[in-house]
Amino acid sequence: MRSQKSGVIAIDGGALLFKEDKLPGARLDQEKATARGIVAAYNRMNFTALGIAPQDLAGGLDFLLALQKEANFPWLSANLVNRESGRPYFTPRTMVMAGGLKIGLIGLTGGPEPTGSKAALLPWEKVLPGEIAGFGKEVGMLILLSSLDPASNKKIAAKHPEINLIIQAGTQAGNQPPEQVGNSLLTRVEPRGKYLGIMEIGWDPRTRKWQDRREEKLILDKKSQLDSLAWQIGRYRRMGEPETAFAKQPETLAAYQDLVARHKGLEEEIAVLSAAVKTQGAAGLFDYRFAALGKEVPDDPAVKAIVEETTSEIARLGQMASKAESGKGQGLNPEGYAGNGACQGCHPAESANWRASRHAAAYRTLENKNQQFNGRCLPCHVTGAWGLTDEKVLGLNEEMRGVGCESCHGPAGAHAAGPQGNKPAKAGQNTCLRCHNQEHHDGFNFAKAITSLGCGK
Amino acid sequence: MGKKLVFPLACILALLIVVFAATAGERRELAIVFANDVRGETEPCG
Repeated sequence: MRSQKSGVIAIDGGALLFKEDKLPGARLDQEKATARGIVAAYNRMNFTALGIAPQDLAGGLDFLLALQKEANFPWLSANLVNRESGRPYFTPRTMVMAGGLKIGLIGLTGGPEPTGSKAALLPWEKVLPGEIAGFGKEVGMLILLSSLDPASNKKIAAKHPEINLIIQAGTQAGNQPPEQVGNSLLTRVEPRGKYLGIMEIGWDPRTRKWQDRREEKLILDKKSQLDSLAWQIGRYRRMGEPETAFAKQPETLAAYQDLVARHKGLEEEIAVLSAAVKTQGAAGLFDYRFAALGKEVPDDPAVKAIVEETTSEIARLGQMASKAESGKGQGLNPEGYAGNGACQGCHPAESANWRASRHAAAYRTLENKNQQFNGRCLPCHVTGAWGLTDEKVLGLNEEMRGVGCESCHGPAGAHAAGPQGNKPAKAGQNTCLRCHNQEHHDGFNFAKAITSLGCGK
Repeated sequence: MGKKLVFPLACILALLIVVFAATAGERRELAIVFANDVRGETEPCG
């Protein structure tokens, strides 16, 4: 795109660096390594600006401030301030040139306010007017990177027509096509690298207004109605000149005349709307799409190298943590679990089905990607992880590798010791949804999956 | 000499005014790409 167009900017509304508000201790180092990798990748992709969302503080404010120095692009937040001095920790706003336009960008961080920290969040009403005024009349377009809640973003759009585009972030919601509120377009891309939002804009910096497309849609609707009326009128006229053909059928003639009157009325309405659209002059136009970042989209070799380097670093940190846990003598099964080999003696057919399944191979799929020490991946690729600390998950022994019977049926140590009693439960949908959730398995069908597993009764 | 320059200068000025008026209402083309996260980082596990 950059090779084809003179004006291209790449921005991110925030919630980029960490996926959760709070990070468990064992995974913190891995998540920080991931955050550093993401910043390196964004540098490579020449990002223009980044908003800061509350999730980005999960690694600590000091970490974020230090990491910012590795970025080639500004991190924006006008309202994340030092509690005592009131001064913002990050750049509140910035201006860039693209496509012959001066573009102003402002960042706003959403709640909740970080606890136990020297940072505070100021309300947007207090900071935003000043930041907008700070641009003066220089900017031709104003963009807000906001991790505030959607309702607040709409209030901002209604109150500040000077803001032309609001990139929303900080939620797990999916893609949101641009929605016009006043003179602002609000939009959002689904998080976690699944899509790229692209807006192609034709913008007049003098008027700084979006074309009101509602009138265009209304014209299209009315034209469709007009076509329908014209067809109905045509059916009457095929009988001959209606005034003559239906002279002795007053009701039919009245129906025809009603159609003609409605047709004329619609033509006049369309003419008025069309004139209104023309008078909008050089209002801003846009087109948009959300490009799915599937495997068919080729990798950028440099970014791919960064991802691989980050993956290796995550593996190295996880392996260190795993050895530390193993060294503490934690290489036993979690309490109450019998282990993957315990079921085979009494349930040979089911065990054979399991060994041939993808559940049994779940740990190997991590090994194939050098992710078997990634604390974020492990809980869904081993047995008995739920309820354990991340340290203990990293230290699980080989018996617990893969998604074993006890992942679905629960701990079976008591059942293995006394088979007649303590029968494990059947797997319910909620058990599966812990891992086969929308993020990892969109469209998961429990009924189909449980049948295809072939575990038996 | 000065009088000979008036007419050409006036023509140039008029031409500039016409060009400016024509381009003043032109739309500028811009592409805004907005993303969250790096593909590949989001699917490390399998």
